[in-house]
Amino acid sequence: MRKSNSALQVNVGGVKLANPVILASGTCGYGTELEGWLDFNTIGGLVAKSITLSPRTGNAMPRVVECASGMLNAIGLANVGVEAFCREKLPALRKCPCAVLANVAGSRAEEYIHVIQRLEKQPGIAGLELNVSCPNVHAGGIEFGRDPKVLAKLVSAARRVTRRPLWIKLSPNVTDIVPLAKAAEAAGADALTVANTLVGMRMDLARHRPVLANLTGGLSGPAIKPVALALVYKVAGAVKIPVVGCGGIETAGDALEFILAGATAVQIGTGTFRDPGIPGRVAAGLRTYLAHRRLHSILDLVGAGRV
Amino acid sequence: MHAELISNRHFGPYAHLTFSAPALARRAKPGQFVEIRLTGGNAPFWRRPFSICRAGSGRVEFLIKARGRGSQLLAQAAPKTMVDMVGPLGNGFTLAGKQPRLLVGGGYGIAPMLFLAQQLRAKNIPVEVFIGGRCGDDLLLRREMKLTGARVTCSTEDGSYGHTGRVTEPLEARLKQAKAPVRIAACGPHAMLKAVTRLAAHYRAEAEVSLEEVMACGLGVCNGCVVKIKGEYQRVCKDGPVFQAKDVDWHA
Repeated sequence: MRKSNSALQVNVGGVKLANPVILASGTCGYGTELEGWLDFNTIGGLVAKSITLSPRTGNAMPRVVECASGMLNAIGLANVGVEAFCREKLPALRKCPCAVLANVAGSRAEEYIHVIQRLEKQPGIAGLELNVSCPNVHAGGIEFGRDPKVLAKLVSAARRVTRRPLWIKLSPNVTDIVPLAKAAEAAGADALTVANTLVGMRMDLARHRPVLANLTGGLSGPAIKPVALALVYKVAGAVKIPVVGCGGIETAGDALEFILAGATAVQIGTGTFRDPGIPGRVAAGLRTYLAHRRLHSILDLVGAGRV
Repeated sequence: MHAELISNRHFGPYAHLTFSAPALARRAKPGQFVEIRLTGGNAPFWRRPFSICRAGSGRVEFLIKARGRGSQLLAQAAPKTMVDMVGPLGNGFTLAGKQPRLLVGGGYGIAPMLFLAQQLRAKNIPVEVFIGGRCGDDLLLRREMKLTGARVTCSTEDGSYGHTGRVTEPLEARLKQAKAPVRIAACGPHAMLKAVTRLAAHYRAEAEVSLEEVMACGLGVCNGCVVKIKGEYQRVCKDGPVFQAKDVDWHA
């Protein structure tokens, strides 16, 4: 059963969450895969795997490799496509006791818009997150997340076709994230997820070639936590809309660091791979922390570490 | 869930580990695997997947080979060590059907075959086991297999024990003289599984193979461990690790 505890409730750009812990896109499939391993009553929300207009098979193998305190992935947005998502995946997702967000990706702006339009009449979606930061596909993500003008155009177009809360998942692979955050805000975004994976590589010493078939992949896990935290701090100081922190979170302490830096909620991704019990433990740890500090709401801590 | 290591028998690079894990032991099926986390730290970063070698009476056993950092750590673990397990995961071998079974294991690929042999013998299904390795030291679980009542044929590539040559040679001889339909289950190196698949097709036997891949999550969410099955990527962890041999694209 859902533990009702108003101290952890947050509203992220119109998405109401029972607690600030969200499963990151691409790390919780379409929800059902984790049934039995993760209690969805213990978390605030989940962001389903990126969906594109047509199904995608993803990149060649190998697609994942371990590294120090993290991993690289180059899955390549493998997904069932928006039609199959609506038909086969959404019915089960609607039964989820936490908030469900859909994540949308595309190679062209029109593709994003078509997917959003197809989803618009579907019930059971609390909000949308636009993936403009996938580092692993040659078309379909990052080019929208690098140029503030291109990003603003995409976000404005998306804003025109959806009434749902609209989150933008920004890339850390840019010289300065602030102009992108401001562009998304001005174009009508309701919240910003900061950030996606960092581009990285590993070499195979036997073959003298990069390990991943895609050559590079996205680095995630505790290895990137300080980088993501610094980006959240920067973005939260530059925009008025809520920021969702994402990068290497595995403990309530990690989540609190992001919240103190200005995040209203956090996403957990790679942590779930390592232990599907982590998201629930982070939420429980936040509750305990508030009780120890005699705080009535997690909102008292949002940005409290900013100087 | 936490599990305590009860015993760890080493032989060469191999280790046979027995854990106390009652909930897991009750639910486990032959061919399924468990994701084991060895340390609370970040190295190794992922859990490691291991086939269940035997399960019952509150215990779960694994037969592993120390290859990388993860398997080395586990192979060296001392009794009373606590590890964290997620499982049982994946789909197991087909238990239905009365056809005699030919179980083929190469090296530590024999691990899931013991559990399978045990359950098939409990249903009184005839079982023949073909164990292969480079040398006699790579022939694992011979004694345990015989105790299930299965007929055991060993092969070594260097001729140090049993038939000299590949494990698929006595398998082919057996298939040649088969009068009634048999079903094959195999686990081992890629080349061996490929050869078993070819033999099964030639002698019109049904065959299932258990595949191995590097896994990030083991739960079916990351799509990192895919293989081509009937031309489409499927996840070894969730859709497998046991697949119909004829459906696997061995060249992908």
